[in-house]
Amino acid sequence: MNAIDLKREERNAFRSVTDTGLRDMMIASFVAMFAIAPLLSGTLGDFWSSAVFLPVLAVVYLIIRFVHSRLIVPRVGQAQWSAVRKSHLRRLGVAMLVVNVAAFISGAVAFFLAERGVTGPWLFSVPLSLIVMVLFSLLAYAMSVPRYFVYGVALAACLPVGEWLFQQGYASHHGFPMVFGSAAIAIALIGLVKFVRIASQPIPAEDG
Amino acid sequence: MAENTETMSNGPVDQIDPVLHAAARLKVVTQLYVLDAADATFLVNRTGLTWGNLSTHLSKLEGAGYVSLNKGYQGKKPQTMIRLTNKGRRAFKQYREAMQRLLEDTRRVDEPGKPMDQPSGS
Repeated sequence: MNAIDLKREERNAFRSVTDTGLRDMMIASFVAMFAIAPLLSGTLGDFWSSAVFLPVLAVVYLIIRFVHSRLIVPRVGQAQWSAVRKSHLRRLGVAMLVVNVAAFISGAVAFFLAERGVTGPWLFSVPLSLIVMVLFSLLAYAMSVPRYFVYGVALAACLPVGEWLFQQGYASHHGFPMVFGSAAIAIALIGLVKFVRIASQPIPAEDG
Repeated sequence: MAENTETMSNGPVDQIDPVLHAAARLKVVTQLYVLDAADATFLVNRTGLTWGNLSTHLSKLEGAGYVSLNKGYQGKKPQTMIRLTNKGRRAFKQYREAMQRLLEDTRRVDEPGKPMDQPSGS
């Protein structure tokens, strides 16, 4: 604490409690769904190959919450945020909802156009990439973690890169298993490193 | 000689709050100022103080009415949340303002070419 910069102190305090690597692992689980679902679509069909992941993601979320309360909280402690930060988080929630509704509408429009014979890799890729970028930019801003913006750029790039690999014959299933699998592994590893760094610290002893 | 006996009383130095003018307590209050509340584990981690030191400084801050300790339970475990009181928030604002004034005054003395920098005998 050289000079007192209150904004920086608040940001660091917030990150010390919330940026524990567990959210990265949750993101990685979600991204892994995009990698694995195309491989299952042959046997389960398009809908069930994705739907089967919902209970899996729910279980991952519950495990992460359990690990957070048992391993992280005793080490980093707990804090209640200022009104400004709470307002940021509320705005993030609203913005996420708006973007998700926009994503749903653009997806419906894309399917509608595809049904009427409109084709092309950019029918789904461009809107989806933009939505991913916006979502992760919002997350990076509200959670004060610039790394999430990099995730957004990388994940947005996954669609065109995967399509390119597919067209060049380097990958199957539009490249999804390869590009999203790689992204999920990279994000999970970053999260794991952060988590292990915190979880390996001793729990502060009250007797000093 | 009368002007030479002038003291620093009622000057900017006297406006510095002695409760806050200790590095450890200033660290604690700074953390609490940017939050709504925090527990002791959080403060130990963020300030680098030991539990014993933190406890001592929290007692002084509580004695001055700058922090309040709310004891409760998180599940079955006892948990104490520490919060800066309104008096504590005001004191921290005033401390920052007083320090800024003091440093401004000091800077004016140090800056060359300013009237206060002129030697009195020349």
